[in-house]
Amino acid sequence: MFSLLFSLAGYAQLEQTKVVITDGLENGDLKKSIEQNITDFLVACNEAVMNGEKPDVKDMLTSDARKSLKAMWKTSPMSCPVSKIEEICLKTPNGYQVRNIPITMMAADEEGKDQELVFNLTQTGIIDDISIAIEENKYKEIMAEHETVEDLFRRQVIVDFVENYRTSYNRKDLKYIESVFSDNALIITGKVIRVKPNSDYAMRSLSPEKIVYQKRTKAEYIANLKKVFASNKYLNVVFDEVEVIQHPKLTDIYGVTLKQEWNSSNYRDVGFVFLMIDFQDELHPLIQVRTWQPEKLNGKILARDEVFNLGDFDIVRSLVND
Amino acid sequence: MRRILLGTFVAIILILLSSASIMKEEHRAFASHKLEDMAKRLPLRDIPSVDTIMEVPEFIKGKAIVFNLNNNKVVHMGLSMFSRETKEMIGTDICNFLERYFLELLLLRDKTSIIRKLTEDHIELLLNGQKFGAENFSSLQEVMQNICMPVNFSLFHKDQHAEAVWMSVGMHLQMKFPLYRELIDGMDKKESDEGVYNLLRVAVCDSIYDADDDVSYENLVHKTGNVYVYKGETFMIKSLTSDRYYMEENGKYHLIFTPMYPEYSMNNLFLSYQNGAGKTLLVTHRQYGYFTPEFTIPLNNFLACFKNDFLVACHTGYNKQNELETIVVFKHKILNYIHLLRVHVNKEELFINSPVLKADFYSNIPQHYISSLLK
Repeated sequence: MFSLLFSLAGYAQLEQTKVVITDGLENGDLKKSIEQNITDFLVACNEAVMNGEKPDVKDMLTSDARKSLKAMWKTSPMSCPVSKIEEICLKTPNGYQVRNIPITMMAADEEGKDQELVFNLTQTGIIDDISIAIEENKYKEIMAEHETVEDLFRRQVIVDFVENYRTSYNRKDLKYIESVFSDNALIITGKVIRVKPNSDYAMRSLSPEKIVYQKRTKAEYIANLKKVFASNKYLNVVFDEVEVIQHPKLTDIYGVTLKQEWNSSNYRDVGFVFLMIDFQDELHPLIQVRTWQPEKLNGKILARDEVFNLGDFDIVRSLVND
Repeated sequence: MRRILLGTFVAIILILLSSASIMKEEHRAFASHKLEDMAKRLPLRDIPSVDTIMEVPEFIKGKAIVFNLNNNKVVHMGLSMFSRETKEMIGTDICNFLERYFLELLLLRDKTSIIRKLTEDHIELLLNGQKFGAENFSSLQEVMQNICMPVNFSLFHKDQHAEAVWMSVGMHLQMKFPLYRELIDGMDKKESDEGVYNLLRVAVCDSIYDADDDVSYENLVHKTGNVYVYKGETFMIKSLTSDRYYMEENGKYHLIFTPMYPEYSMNNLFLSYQNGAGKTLLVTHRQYGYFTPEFTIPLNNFLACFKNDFLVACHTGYNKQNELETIVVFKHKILNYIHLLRVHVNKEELFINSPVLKADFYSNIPQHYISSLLK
């Protein structure tokens, strides 16, 4: 009891926390409104902790934000241990964001007590969401990763490579396709089959589909492609979506996921193609892995976590270097 | 007399036959496989050798086919729908696409093939609100023949899609189509890369671009010391912009090009023609199929090639060899693709007379289907 009183007395002097936005907002009224709303929010939290009540925050929060706060408060009341906070305001697609607001999670253990809040605000400066921030240095690291020109340049070069690759199918250019596959490339093709129907009539109507995977060598793949090219008057391969992900450790390895539409004179299908591309030789990237899976299984679009990705393959560097 | 007449007649026939055989042997080049394929399917014995608009009644009545050539190569073929002036006003690329696409559809002839092509190209074609293939819209031939030019025409585009509308009494024809280079140009990557290469080989820069407009203080943002920024567009990430850097001297603002600020100077080079005279790019053009021709081109000629249809954004820093390196993005204003140039030069060499800047050039990189490039 004594220790609780002592800690409350310690926070009493921090009732009047104040937030000042130092940069990122030119509109004076909006700046004032955002400063006031976050300040009022923190003061309300401090008072609620002091009084053992729930914070009175009706006006400065949207209903979604009130729900977030209610859920957080249930886990742990929180208060702001700093009397003056100076932070910048970031513009987001839907409004604004203020990060790094220090708070103390009252119910957390010692290690987890000090946290930082992120405030997302509407275009008019009302608090729209509150969340616990990830560590500041981690945030900067992630943002830096996403914002370097070098990385963007590399990714654009990958898109250029993907476009060349797609074009090679439209042009039936086997020579080019051969040149972009590593001789040791792992090629997996998926095929949808219907499971043999059960003798039971009711079960027969379900006749579930499943994917059977086949592993092919580069030579087998190219030979098969040669037959496809010969038997189709025209081929039109289209990529609808492209996602580019860099390997977290081997930074010259990229995973590229494509939604591929294959239109030919006598066949049409839609599927996901995954390519693992090795950019060790930046001017001559090589495909080390190519997989194909159907877009739909049992009438449903294949879940993203079922589509092959970088994490599905162990990379042995000596093999990649071949 | 009869013999003379007969002889003359035979001679005329022989001359006509021989000239026809010469024409048949004459090889007509095409800018793309698509155009060549279309030409083969047109009921024409010869493709014109100069810009021509001609009726082909055995193919479509009351409408003409337009042919445009450049350097003896057919660069456009389509159902004539726009005058040259209209094309210049609306945009030649889009108008040519509409003309070519309607001709492509008409060449397919049967309804199923047309529906299939529209589906594959993600295009919607509607007549009075009904999709092609519906009961009242099953013959494209008929609709096109019934359109009496001139009609009210409008074109809207937003983000990655456009809509063309033709309106006349009792008829409202709409075409909704995605905006991406391959569809609009009708060329694959290899053909477009070659097109850009040919364009660059003959590019010139009009001297009027040498001088840039003066800027006033009101349009500048103070950066540091006596450096000011003229804010421009941003491409994808905040450090890739068309911001230009100025320096204040005696109350006037000059575009920076001085060894005092090498990064700003290099950056400015690609966003203005002012300091580009005498500078040469040694370009490695990284085209489809690992084809990498090299050529030199005056810097301003290179930039002038993209001056009308593209937004330019760039970023300058230092590479691992401690050279100045600039990434330049040329983003097409309507179609969703970019060209990418990476230029590098030693800091000291930038300011000598007639420097040569080495560059890698990647052309026609599509952007329309990228869902998460920065994941």
